[in-house]
Amino acid sequence: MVMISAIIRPEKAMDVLADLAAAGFPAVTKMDVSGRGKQKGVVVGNVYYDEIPKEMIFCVVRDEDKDAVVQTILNGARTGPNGAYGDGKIFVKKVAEVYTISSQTAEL
Amino acid sequence: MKEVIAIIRMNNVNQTKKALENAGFTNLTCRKVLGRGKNKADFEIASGKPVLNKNGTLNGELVTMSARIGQIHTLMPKRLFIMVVHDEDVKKVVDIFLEVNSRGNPGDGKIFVVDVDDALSIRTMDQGERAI
Repeated sequence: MVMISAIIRPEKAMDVLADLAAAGFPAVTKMDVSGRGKQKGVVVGNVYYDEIPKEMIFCVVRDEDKDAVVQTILNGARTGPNGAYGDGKIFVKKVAEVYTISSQTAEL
Repeated sequence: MKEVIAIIRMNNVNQTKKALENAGFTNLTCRKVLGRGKNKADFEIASGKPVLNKNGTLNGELVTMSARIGQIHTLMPKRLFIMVVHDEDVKKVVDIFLEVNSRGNPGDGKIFVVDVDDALSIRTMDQGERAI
């Protein structure tokens, strides 16, 4: 099992969630976060914003589904044909154990 | 050490916290999140509304949007618990989460256990197992 957490633009979050559901991965958790990237925030006019609001979505999937989920998020969260700064990042980490509370089983 | 990430129902938070505290696990981080699972949320159950007939009407009257959605993939409010515990305590913590939150219904939640390579305490500057 792998946990895929993605930090994406808030306006793209619902698109990505719809794409994931269409690709057969409906299970996902979403939270509001704020942060900055390599560009150290953003300057709009005279105002410097250090932290930019983003959405973090994460889902736990089987190893063989990793590429499909990552590709779905990459395609859905990108702005414009070449992408833009601030489109976000995806992180993948290994999950040792998974439990479903309702069935008390150690599986997704 | 391992990170235990549990997503549970909002109204089970206090019971879970109490059960964890009684077992000696007081350190936790918790936040509100929105999430959805494999199953579609059934609003007919949640609202107790009567089942509509095929053309979306009830006794000949058009009904509100919320009653008409029925079953959809939508985001539901949940609580996310994050705890970093010693390897030997993982089973105890997982069992508490399973026991307190189980109602046998879809939407009870999930528990994920993730490996943590290192931990540091900012106050004491302890590293590794001693930092937890």
